Amino acid sequence: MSASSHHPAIPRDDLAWQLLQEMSEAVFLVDPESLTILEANPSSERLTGQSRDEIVGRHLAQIVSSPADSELAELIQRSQGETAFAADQSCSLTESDGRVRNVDLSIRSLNSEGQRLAVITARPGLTDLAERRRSAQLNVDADDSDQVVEDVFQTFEGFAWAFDLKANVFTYVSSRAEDILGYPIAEWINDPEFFPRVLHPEDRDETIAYCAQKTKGGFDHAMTYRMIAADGTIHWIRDIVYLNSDQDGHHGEVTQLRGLMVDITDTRRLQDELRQTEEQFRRLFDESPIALLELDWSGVRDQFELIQNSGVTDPAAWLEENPEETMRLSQLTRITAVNRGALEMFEASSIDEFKGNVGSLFREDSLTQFREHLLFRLNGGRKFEADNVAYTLSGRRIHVHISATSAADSEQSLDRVYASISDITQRTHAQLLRHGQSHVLETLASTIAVNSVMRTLTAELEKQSPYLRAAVFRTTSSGRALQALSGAGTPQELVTLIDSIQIADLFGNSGQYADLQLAPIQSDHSRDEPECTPPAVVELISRAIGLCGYRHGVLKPTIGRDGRLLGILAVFRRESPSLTPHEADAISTFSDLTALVLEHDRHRRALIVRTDELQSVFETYPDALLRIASDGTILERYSGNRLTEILRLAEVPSEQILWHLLPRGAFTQVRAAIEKVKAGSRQETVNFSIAHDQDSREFEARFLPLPSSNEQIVVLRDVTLLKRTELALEYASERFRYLFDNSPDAIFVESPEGFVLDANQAACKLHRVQHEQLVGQNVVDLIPEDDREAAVSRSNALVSGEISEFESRSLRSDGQIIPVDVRISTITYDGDLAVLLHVRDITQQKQEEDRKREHERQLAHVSRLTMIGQLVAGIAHEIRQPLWSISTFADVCVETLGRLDVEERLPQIRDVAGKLVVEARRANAITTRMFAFARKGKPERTACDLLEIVGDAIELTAGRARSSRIRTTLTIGHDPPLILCDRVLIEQTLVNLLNNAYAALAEHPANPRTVAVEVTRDTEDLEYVNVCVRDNGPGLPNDVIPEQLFEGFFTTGQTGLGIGLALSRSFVEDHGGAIRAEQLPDGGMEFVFTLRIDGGNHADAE
Amino acid sequence: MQSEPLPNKQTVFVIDDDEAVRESIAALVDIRGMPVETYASAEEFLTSYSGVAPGCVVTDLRIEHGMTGLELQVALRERGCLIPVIVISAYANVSSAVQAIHNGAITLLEKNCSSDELWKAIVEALATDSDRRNEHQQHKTLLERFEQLTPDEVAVMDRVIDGQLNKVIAKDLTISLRTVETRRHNVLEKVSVSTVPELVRLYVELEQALGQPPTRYLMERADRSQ
Repeated sequence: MSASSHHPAIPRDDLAWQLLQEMSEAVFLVDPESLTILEANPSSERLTGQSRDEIVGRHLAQIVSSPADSELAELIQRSQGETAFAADQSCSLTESDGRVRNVDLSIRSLNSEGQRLAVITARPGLTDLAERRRSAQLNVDADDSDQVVEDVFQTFEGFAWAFDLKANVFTYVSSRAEDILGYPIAEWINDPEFFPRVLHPEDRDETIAYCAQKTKGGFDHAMTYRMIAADGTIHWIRDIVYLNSDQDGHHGEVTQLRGLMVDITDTRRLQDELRQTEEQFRRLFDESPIALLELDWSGVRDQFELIQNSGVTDPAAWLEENPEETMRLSQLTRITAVNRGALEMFEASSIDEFKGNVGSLFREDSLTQFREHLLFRLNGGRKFEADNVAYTLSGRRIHVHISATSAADSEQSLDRVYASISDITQRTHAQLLRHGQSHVLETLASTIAVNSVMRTLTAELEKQSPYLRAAVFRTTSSGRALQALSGAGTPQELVTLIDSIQIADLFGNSGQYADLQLAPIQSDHSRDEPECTPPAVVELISRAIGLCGYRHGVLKPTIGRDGRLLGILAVFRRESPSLTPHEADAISTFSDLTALVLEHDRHRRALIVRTDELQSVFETYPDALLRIASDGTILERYSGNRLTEILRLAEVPSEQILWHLLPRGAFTQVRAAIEKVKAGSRQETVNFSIAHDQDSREFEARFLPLPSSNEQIVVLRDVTLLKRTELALEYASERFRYLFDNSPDAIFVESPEGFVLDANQAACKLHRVQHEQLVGQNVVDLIPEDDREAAVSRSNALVSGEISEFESRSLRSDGQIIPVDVRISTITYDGDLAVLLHVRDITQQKQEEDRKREHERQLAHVSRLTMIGQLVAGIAHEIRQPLWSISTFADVCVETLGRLDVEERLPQIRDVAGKLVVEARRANAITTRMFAFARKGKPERTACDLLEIVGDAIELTAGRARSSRIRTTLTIGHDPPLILCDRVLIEQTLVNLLNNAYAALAEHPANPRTVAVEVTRDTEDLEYVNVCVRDNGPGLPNDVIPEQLFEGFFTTGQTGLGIGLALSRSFVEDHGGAIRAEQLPDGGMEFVFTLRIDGGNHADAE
Repeated sequence: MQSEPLPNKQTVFVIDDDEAVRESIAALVDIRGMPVETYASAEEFLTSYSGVAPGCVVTDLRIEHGMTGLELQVALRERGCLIPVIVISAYANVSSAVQAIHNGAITLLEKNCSSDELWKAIVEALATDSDRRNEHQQHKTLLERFEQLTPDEVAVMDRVIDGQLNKVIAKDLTISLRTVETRRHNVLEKVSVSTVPELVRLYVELEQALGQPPTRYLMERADRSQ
């Protein structure tokens, strides 16, 4: 095979040899006699696709297949005779794979050290001019075709890729990837670690494992994951992966993956926002302290229409005559949603317990108001408010205030009516109570028997719950969220690309721009420029831009694969330095196109391959891509197989006119869009819907111009899901806004830093300011100055979640301070964490409480006076003892002083006088104690020694105990605790308990009769102290349960008003404690009440 | 019957659970020159009291713990103590007053009386105490005289006091008239009287002290001694 050994070798150190090696043309040295190839240079290896060793020693004819070897030999022979012979000959050259290439051969003779050689130079070429021209035309067509594909591809938010499984690298990524994610293509291709690196860390392992698993199993697959773009933003990517087998061998083994990565970030964001708004709404609905119900009245409306159609002319009268029909209608009022507040109010654990309608909440006495509501609603009224009576599921009767409003779009259908319900039972009772109390006090004052009045009063007292739950609100969605949809919060700017300058003009005629020396100037070429940018050129252009009066510019050099500068795109403007994404997008697209055009010659072949790949990927792309003529004829379809059925796309599209595919309504719009694009618009969008399979699919058609042609690209996208998401979002937002705006409670959305982000009408009303004044204000300014410090310290507790509800005060713009109830929860607002504050004005409630307290205080005083009446005999005895001792001691003193031996008796006199003084004080203490107890004191809370109070109470009742020979013991469980209290009320409670115990024991034969008082710290909650009063008397009659004792006017004895224990409970509960009674197993009663130990923080009281 | 010698010094025993009341009474008694002892409860007093010491008791009607003043009176009477009791009370009511008097209290005082009233009551009680003690002594001497009589003499005395004639007595007792006269003479001699009316006076006096006819007492005594 190796012929080189038979011929003298060409000296390798020859300069000619060196040149030969460097020549870009293929060179063969041939023996002119035998036509054996003696040597070949590296370029010839490239041309033939064979190695030098394979070429050398072969007959020339084995390489050059045409013309025939005789003709070739003749040419060579001829060249040998003439020193300057050069024959240019078109030849065919057979490559190693058997393919034939056209080459231009040039034959020369060479005399090298006496040896004659034929030098054959081969260049790829075309045989004649005509063929060249035809070829050129083909090239242009091919260019156009590639251009179209590239153009089309630029309209996608996605890019194609190919991945070599063996080499474990991307072999191809379309340039759009750079626009979308910002990484240069070179990084994708060259760096095997690239893909894992840009995957979101949370998705990385899962995505790679999933892909590997599917690939191993031989399945095409699709994945959704997040990628981190070069600018740090997170993109959601839908990646569709196809397995590709190496067809040349390896029995179909998968060697390559191809796929399409589509950026679905916008869709994802929309879905996220929907979720957030839904969540906001849910929160507002659920977390609201107010009972909220979503009702569906459509059934009621239908039923009522039936009734009217049956000839009822006066519905109001008819309903009044037929109460059972009203009840039936109430059962047709369906409950579609309730919040936690409603569950609590109606004592239900889940919505199911309502059995779907409001019927279970109403009884006969609720129906009058319901009938009013019904008539109002059916007459087209929107907002209804009334007080009514309702029943909880456990049958408790509550007074409620109902505010009901139909949703904005359901006035007719009545399928969405929001009802907010507040429990005004306490308020109602408080009003009744207030009237009752006044009456009682009057009658007591005139010493008329009042039992019947008081019994009514107590019944009402009993019904009072410890706190009020009230108010109602509704909101709908936020307009802002929708706005963000359109631009993620970034305002849309008109893109202003003012001018453009021919780059060549800047450089004059020389073209030698590299020689220009210019000082560097500040330019804004911010966006991801390759590092190989020739700085001099960039500076030059920057300077030109500056000279033209533009302050900001972007320079986008287009760099070839070999690092050569292919061209520069310059965009500059007078305004803001930062580019909008659209501008950036346009710039990079343009840049890429430039690169493509310039690189086209060199990479034509590669591009063709790529075009094939793109085509195959397009086939699978879900959207339909059509190339159309300006008259609407569909010229070509690139993708959209999935939409073929819906769009009735023909397999051979050229027969079809675009608007024949579309519904009639879209016709005009589509035509207008095509005309506009034709007239120079860069993009037009038309939306329409197509009925398909009893379903309506939403479509979006985008029209884009194809450069340098009359043709256009149409992208048809199925946007049904997107539209539905948008609609749902709008709906959720509307509901949120509705609840928000219409709530009677003030609602604030507050940033974590304490600034008001949003507030509803009620909030404005509460503070007496306009909405715009409120928004942006610091929350601190809405709190009275005195409370600010406390509010700040409280905010820490709020942050840690320790409290979510508290009472506070608000500062109105006119300086008035109003008591409020605040409830707090957190929500996501415009993508950030925010605090949702419900603020309720409780002025009225406070006033009611104050009045109630005032009346109770008067009642307490009357009760104390009554008690003193019972104790007075005992007190008289108690006071008589010291008084008698005093007079006796005094007599002794007087008598002793009259004695003759008075001098000797002086110590005795001093002793007696001392005792006299002690007794005088004792008598004084008794009267002081009694008067202090009887006094009509002001309500005030001070830190008191509980033992002192207990001691006083025991002393005050001691006379009574003694007269009945009852032994009273006091046990102290621990250090005397201080409690913050209204002293006289706690003493009254104790005196009442002791008095009751003594009364019970007085007629009881127990021996010894004892009353034990114990003060101990609560074993479970160390913050509390227990005070226990226990007797060994007869206990309660069989028919009485201990709880009854605390109802007013309950008395087993004949003395007293019977309100003592009811008042005691009220006092203790007012102090944050509790009282209970227990019948002891061996007779006797035990009363225990708890009080909170004073922690020293007096600000917390009240 | 007590047989110990009478101590000659009288003491005022004050019982009250209220210390000031106790102390003030004690001071009054003390300044008036009488010995005084104070007790916080009836039980305390009963434990230390011999039962024969002369004097009087001043007690509260209702003592908080333990026996009441009324219960103390009953206890003293059951023990045969003659000591007079003054009951003072802050809450006088009719039923407890009646009960106190019935139990033999000398005086019932309210705790609003003056010192002089109290003192007067104490003086009276002490006088009663001495009187009772003297009377007790006289009766004891008289009884000793009657106890010298034989049962036969007692039988004759019984009939003489009844006013029966000697012959009727002789016939009834189936003894001679002469025997009747002898025994009648013995009776008068042993009782140290000279006439029958004198005998009758002493007999009645003794009957009052014993609470029963002396004849029966003496007969029963004779029966016991047999």
